[in-house]
Amino acid sequence: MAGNNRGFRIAANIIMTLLTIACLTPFILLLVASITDEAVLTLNGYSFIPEKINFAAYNYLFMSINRIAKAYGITIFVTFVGTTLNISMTTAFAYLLSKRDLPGRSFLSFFIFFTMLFSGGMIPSYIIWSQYMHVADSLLGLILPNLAMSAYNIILMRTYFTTNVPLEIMEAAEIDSCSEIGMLFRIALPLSKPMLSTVALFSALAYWNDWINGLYYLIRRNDLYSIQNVLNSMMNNVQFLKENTMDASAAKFTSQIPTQGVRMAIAVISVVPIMIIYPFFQKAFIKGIVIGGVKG
Amino acid sequence: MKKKAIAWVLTAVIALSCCGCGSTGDNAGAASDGTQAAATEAGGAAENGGALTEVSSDPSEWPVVSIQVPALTDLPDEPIVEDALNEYLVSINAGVKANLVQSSFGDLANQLTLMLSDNQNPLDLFCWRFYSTLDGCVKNEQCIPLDGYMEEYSDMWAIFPENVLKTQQIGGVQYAVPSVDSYGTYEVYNLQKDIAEELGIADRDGERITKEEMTQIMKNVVEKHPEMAAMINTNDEPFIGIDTFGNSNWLGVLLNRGVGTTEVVNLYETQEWRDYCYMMKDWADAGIFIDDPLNNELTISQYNNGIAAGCFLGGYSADYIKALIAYSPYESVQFQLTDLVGTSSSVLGGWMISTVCKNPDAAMKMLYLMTMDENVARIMILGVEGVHYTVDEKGIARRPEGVTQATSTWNQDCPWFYPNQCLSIPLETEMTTYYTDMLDAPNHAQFSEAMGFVFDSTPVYDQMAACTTVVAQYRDALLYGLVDVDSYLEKFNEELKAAGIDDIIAAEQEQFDAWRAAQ
Amino acid sequence: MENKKLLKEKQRKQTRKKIKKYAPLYLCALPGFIYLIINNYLPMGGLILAFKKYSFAKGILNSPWNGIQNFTYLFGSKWAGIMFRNTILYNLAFLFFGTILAVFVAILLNEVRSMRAKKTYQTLILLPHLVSTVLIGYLVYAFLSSTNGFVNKSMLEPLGFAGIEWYTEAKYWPFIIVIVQLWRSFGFQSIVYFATIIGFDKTYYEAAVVDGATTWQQITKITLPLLKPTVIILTIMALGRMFASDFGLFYQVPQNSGLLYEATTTIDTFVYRTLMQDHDVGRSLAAGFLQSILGFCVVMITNAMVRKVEPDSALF
Repeated sequence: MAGNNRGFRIAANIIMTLLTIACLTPFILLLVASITDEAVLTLNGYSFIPEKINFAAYNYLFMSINRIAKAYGITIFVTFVGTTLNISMTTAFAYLLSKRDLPGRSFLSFFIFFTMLFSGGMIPSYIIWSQYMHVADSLLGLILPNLAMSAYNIILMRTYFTTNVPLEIMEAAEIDSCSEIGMLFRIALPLSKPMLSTVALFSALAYWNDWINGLYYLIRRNDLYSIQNVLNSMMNNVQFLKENTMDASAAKFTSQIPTQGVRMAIAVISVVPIMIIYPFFQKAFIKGIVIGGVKG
Repeated sequence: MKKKAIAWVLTAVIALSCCGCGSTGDNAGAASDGTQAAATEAGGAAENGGALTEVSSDPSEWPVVSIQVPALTDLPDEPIVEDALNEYLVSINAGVKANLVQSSFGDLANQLTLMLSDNQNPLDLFCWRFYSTLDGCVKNEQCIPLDGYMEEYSDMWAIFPENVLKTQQIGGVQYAVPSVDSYGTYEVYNLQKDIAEELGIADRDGERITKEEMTQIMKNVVEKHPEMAAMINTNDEPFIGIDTFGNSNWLGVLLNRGVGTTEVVNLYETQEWRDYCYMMKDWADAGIFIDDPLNNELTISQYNNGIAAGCFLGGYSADYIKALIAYSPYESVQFQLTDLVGTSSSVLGGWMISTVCKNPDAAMKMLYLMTMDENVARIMILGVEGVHYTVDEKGIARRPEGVTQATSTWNQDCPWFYPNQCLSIPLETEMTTYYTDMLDAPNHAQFSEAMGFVFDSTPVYDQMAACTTVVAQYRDALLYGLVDVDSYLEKFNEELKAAGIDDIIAAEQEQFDAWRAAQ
Repeated sequence: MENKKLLKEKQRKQTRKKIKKYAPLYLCALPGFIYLIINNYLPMGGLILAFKKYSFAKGILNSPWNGIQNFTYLFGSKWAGIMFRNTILYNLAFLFFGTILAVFVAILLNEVRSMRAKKTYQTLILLPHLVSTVLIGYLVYAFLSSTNGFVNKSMLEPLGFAGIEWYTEAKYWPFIIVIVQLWRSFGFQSIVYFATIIGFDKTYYEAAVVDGATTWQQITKITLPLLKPTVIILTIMALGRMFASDFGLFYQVPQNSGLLYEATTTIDTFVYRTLMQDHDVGRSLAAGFLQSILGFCVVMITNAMVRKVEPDSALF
């Protein structure tokens, strides 16, 4: 009997190890590709053990260190400010919705939920944000449109407030004539730390991985591109050159395409920070998934 | 502490969003006024041929025209070039100033669409090349008619041959200023010189060869060098021998590049196309192509990095082609494959004034200067003399010491994108007649019967859209010999029929006949 | 009559009192409210373009109406069928295989006794969830490029098989896309189930062990039945997203290859292609509008279902 159970456990460990490897290997392949010699990469293909190691791709990136460093700085700044903004607005809204006897509660819930389904598309959004809100061509263009609040996060947090902040404590506080805002800061928020860090992480990831805002709102200021914009723009250019292949006069131009190695190197430097920061948030993140997944 | 911080942020957010609200209202009004104004101005210009007659003595009051500038990466020197250009414009009392807007080719599809819908901060001058077609821009009402400016700028229009100007007209209305070019090209098979020597054919450099000879040469190449490919991409209209009316999906074409024929045919049904597909299959089976052509970068860089020994190139002369490819690490020989022919597709781009432009008169003046003023053209094409280039004793522009194409801070590699590259000087080449020969080339070229004919696809809009998707799905596989020709072609043609290609061809023939009758 | 009036009056009074009580909270939520109006509701006005022929010169409001032409075009082309079929079938496949894999992994995780190992597994299987689809596109290319991809060069060819032209053969792509999606999402989902399992009452298992139940019996007799409600709820939720698709997964991962369109066109990629290739704003919005409407209906229905099964989880 015990043997049976032990066997099961060993099997579980083996399968989990395999799955873990499956999750990890593509990233390793990417990393190795970025330090593989370009000729070897073209000829022998992607491999985990390159025949010849060459840091040329990183040297190339280092040459344009100014641009890369700036893009990095912008990504970090935007992620930080955007996440702060997102958390504040989300918390405020979700807390309001968590009040069960709130007048207009179902209207507001529907108001939020509706945004998850309908959207007017690229051009109307662009017109509103650039012409009426004037966020284009500045860092606000990276921060405000689309990402500063998401219906999903509000619903997550509302659920958390209603399920994890005991009503009794709230009522007791109310009797102690604690104000509504005071209750938010003194009771609800301290009890909701895991949820806060989860929403923060979701939001930070969204900002970090976003390239759409830069594409739309930094048309005249591509010097303000974030690192994902640089990566995406490079991909798009490669795609463009593929499509307009051998236009004779354009021929010379096409020799500007960054090599595969360089593209892989940029991809690597765009994920590395996530990989580094993630373990610190891991616990809260998992907790957040649980809450969001089951109740969201 | 924490609490306070959050409270502050909340307050700030409230304050911010309130400001936002306030300005929303105001601007909404302003914006719609702007639209109105722009619309009336555009109309007025088209009717009266409004001239930019009164030039204010104070350059700071001059209208600023924003102009699309081609780029691949961020051009850090944009402000420097812009200042130099404006300084020059002031010195000639031009009455307009420029605002350069760099747009990365890969992001054009998104960014031009957005800029052309933005009437507050509009893009005034743009080129349809790589973005859309003349027809498409007119149909979506992205550009304004230029007929009102015919008289005032007659000297500019006069530099273009009649049939070239016609390529930028729809229904007899001029919508764009064509980019100056040779307007006629022939195709060559460009092969690494070392390999040509190995095969003992290097002395035939410049010779005219047939398709069969070419196939044989390429087969010999890959036999000697199985590790290499002999061809990069085969999406080559001149080699296939078609005039496509500028439609890259080849929905209705003239065979023989339109020289001496006026019958619009469905290329994909012709024996010529079937034969071409067989030939491609033959090339593919012989290992002439790069592996996985659909995903590989089918660009000239495959030739430059030695993966392919040869490729198609086009140009108006062998010297020109050699100059184009001079930067490559490999020396090359060329075998001529076709005649020097001009079609509508030889006019590669055209400059337009956008419908959101607020001051079309100023924009037109700017476009005129870009086409006619040597200094304006040269600053835009090459940057600032002494900073981005120097001129040697032969009149060739040279990059400064240590600066390469990749590290240059201004994009000097797209002269052909601008309205008049021939006002500039050749860059980093030994061919001093690069631009003068280009101007002379049209005198030696044959022209398609359809040169200047622009198909208005409005009546068959849906069919066009449907056929475009079918072509996107099927054609490439045939072009690279990846599939069985007969069965695949049959399916392809079936779907094209279902998508309504016959309607397109009938409409093209009808319009083409009417157009010829009007000539 | 009098009573009713009084009751109403009383209610109104109470509401007013509550509004007053919550006034500071309303004020705090105001920025979010305004944000949603600006970011989401104002642009929705653009949906009228689905019924217009968009003119860049005339703008949104002044473009001419063209009735339902944008929609009739959509259904006239063969893509309407393909994109709805693909969107729905892929979602069903993701749901079916995703749930099985996630439950499987969750149970395995539960069997792992070493805390450190458990933590490591949890951390690493979540990695794919963190990166952008642009990057996933790069990763897939590294494996599947037929010239120098890992699968062809280091797996098939050494084994003596011919390399496969992955990006030209539509038949492989339903599998590739499902695998990529599973790879990306199984960690996330399995942790949801795992957490549910941890929450189960331990006494069931203790009793089972006393009765001499094997691990396998514990799983089939206790864990799975207890997981059932969670599976049902998550499934219903997923049904609500039936008409949505991740743009990046279907566009960037297959590199927008034309030969794969039959297998990779979903509503979202169709909308994008219509906009970018034809610059036809109206038609792309028509497809998007349809998607929204259908999604809306499905969500309303599923929400009603959820409310019956578990009222607390209902969205509204």
